[in-house]
Amino acid sequence: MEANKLLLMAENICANFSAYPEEQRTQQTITHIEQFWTPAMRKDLKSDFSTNEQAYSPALKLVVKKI
Amino acid sequence: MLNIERGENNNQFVELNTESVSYLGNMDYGTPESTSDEIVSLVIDNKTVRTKAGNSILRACIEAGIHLPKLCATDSVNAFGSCRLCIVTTNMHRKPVASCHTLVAEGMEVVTQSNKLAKLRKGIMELYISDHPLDCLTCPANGDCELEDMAGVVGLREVRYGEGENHLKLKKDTSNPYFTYDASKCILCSRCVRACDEVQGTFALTIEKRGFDSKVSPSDHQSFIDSECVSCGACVQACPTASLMEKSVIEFGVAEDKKMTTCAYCGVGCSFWAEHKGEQVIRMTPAKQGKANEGHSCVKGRFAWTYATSEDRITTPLIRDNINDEWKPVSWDEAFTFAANKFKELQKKHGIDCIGSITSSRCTNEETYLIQKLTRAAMGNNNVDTCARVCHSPTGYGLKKTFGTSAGTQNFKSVGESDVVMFIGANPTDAHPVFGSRVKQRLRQGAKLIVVDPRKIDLVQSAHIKADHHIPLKPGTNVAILNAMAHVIVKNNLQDQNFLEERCDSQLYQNWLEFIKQSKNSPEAVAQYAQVDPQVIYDAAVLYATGGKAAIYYGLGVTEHSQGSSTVMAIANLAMLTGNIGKEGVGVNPLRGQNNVQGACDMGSFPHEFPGYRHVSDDKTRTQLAKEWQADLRSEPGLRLPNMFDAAIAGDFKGMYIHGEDPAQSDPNTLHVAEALSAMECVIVQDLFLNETAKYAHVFFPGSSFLEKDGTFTNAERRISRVRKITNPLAGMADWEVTQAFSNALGYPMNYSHPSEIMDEVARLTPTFSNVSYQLLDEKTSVQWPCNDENPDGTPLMHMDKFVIGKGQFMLTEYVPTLEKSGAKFPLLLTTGRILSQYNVGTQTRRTENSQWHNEDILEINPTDAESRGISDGDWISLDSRVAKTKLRAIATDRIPPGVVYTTFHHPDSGVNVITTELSDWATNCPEYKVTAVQVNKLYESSTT
Ligand code: SF4
Ligand code: SF4
Ligand code: SF4
Ligand code: FES
Repeated sequence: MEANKLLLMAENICANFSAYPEEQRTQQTITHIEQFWTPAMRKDLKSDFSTNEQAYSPALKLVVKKI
Repeated sequence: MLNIERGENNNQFVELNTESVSYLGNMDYGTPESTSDEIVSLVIDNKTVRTKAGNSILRACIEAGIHLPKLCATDSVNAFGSCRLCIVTTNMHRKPVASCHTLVAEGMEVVTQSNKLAKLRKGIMELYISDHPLDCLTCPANGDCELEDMAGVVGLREVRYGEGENHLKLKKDTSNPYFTYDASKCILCSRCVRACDEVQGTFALTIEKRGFDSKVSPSDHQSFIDSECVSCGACVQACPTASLMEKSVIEFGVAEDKKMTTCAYCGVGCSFWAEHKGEQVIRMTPAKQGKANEGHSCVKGRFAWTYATSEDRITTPLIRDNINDEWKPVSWDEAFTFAANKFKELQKKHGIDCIGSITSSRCTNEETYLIQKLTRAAMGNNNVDTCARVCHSPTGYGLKKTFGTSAGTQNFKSVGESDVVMFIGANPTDAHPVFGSRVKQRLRQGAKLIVVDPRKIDLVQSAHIKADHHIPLKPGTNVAILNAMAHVIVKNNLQDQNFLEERCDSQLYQNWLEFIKQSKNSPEAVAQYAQVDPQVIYDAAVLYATGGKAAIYYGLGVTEHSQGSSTVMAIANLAMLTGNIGKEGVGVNPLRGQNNVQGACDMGSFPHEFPGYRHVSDDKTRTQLAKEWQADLRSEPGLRLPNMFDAAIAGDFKGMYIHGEDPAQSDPNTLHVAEALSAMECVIVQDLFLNETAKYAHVFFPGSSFLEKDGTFTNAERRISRVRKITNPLAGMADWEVTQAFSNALGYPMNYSHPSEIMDEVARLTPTFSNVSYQLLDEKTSVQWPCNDENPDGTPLMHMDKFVIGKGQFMLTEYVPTLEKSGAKFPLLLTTGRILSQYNVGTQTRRTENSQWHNEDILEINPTDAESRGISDGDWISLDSRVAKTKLRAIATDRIPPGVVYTTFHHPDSGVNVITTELSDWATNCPEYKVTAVQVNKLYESSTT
């Protein structure tokens, strides 16, 4: 799938957990992505992250590193 | 049939005929049932009878099997006591009294038959008949007319009066497309007027003038079509004569048989008697036994069912190699083989994950279950989704997170106990009309009302209804408003501390408390960007928290936002905070758009969940299903609907089986959807009609309407009701049979002989459905899940003693504004909704006479915005968004605030979904239909085309 769409979706998830302390926010976002995204979508996001890290928010960086 | 002659005097006493006078078994108890718990004892015709205090003598008689004659009384409306046909004598009254209008009393002795009463009754009937056409033989109501029945009951054989001044030549009003009003047959019983007032709540009818000149009048002496009448049919249902009569009965005659079934339109799930003569459906009449509607209906379910026999129904399977080719009609077998071979080839070439399925909320539970099973077991992946994705998927997410189950908490009847009712992003009088009428009844009894909606929906102000608080928020700010309400409640210490301590997770509550107290959540902070008066937020919050039992009802104006899931959780937080969960009159209630949204979700048509909301990664469930289904099941979620389209454009997704859904018209940014569908190599559409999506299809399986199959629907109250086959499928196969045959062609065997066997399998494999069976549904008419050993009769109210999840989970609902912003180029925000007479993208309703009321989508614009653009009512305008543009006609109205425009999406030519963006809810990808930045420009005047 198109990487920028996946990035937008992931940032959106992260933002909606932003009221939680960092550790919880990261974990909630990871759990969410694992529960609702296909393995291929997760793989595509990680692959985009490897070449496009600067486009990711600090909060999402923490998430993608742990997916 | 009446056999009465005008002329000679006939005064002989005739024994009262006490047989039930009911058409096709519809028992009428004369007056509504009392709600009292007290029982009184009385004697009727020497028989001791026990009935509820507050019941009428008439009702007590009928309950005891003593059938008094009656005309102006019917049990859907309060007694009026005008015809006097139901007179009885009692030991407590000196003169005969109208039994419909006199309440029972302890120790009362009632006599229903005597020479004196018989004479009086006969005299009354004689007067009625003397001014009534004696054309029973040719009257469409012959066999279904209470006047005719009553004349027989009182033994009237002759009328002493010759023809004098009468009403026999009055003109018939045939303006309504579905029913006629024949004033010559009217007996002025006022049942229609009371039905319109008390049941429907529209107050469209009056009896105008006095005495001989009295006449039923719609609105201000208008014809029915021009009046405020919303064609709910309640007056027609109530009319005891052929004065108000369905045109279909006039055309085809009265029915010979009937079966109870469920409306195939909205999520209220009204029960209807489908009355028919063989393969000809005569009419649909709302069933009193239906617990969702209790005998009421709206124009869609009552009248707009003729699409089922529309001439453009496709009844032959069609195939083609290329979407630019002509369709080739083929046999069912050829179609199944062609489709199965295509799918198998695609999977061989591109891998298991390159195909998937879409179910619809218009499908039955059994069909939905089969499609998800076919996808998981026959296709071997979890790429199954439902159109609930684009409407209520945030409900599933939000309520599961907070309460532990993806469903509303109450039954509809519960609103009758509410002291405060709050509607958020829902317009029930248009979208869920029968529930809208029920709510209006409660509001007229004095319940308070809060409306959170950018638009002044009918409930904000209509006949005898006025909202106590209307929060006309800027589209997209629901979360902020709800957070602000919670902030007010907490700051003023109005929370229900006992409930919080006993029922909710204390740590999560403390975390939430800290969050909600922050000043960013105050009404003053929120009011600035939500564009509302902070005092209104404050007042609404105080009313919700302190006004007694408070219930929240919400619709797509909550879910179809980029923060849809957060809004659902904010609603749940608010209900928990104030203890408004777990009893009558309270709760959190999603008003589901389509008839089987709840069922589609229950049956496992989301890519991450098996039936019963169990995640695909749950080993225990997966192992059980794999064994039962004899298939390898994936533990990872599949693609969601929008992801399937994205993957198709990326070249990874090649085939789709779409049942009962039209994404090319109903999904957002339809140009994107069209691109995705065009990119696929095999699209299979199963539908009644060659819809927009079928333009991109390679296989067409003709579908069957709700009248042509057996099954069940589950409404917004979790109520499972039967759908019953009335006529044979026009294409020869019911939808569940088509899916089964397709599965067999794919090489995965299915051998159900009836949908009841599919439900038996659902019950065997789904703990919340374990006691559900067709037998139980036949016995009880309907049940609300969970229905299992713990709740054998179903569960009207959820989370009574504890939440399904254990302790209630407060979730932090940060307000994250949508990325869709208005600005200089697109200064207005477009939001969308429904109108009463049309439904969704109009596939069904546009094929009926309902289009007489709404044959195009119109843009509503505030007069200030209209004036600054030089737009007058009826002018054609262009509606441009960042995605695309379309053209509509506009009207200026202050129903909509400045800066916001509104339209419906029922007509494909208006292309409203062409211009909506691809933004979606953060948690579920439910599209953000409700916020699109647009510009509106005048194109040309209304007179120019
Ligand atoms: S059809 Fe409904 S709205 Fe119209 S007059 Fe009859 S009761 Fe009233
Ligand atoms: S139209 Fe029918 S219900 Fe209405 S007053 Fe006349 S007879 Fe009664
Ligand atoms: S309210 Fe809904 S379910 Fe009931 S008749 Fe109308 S459309 Fe059908
Ligand atoms: S039925 Fe009782 S007065 Fe008419």
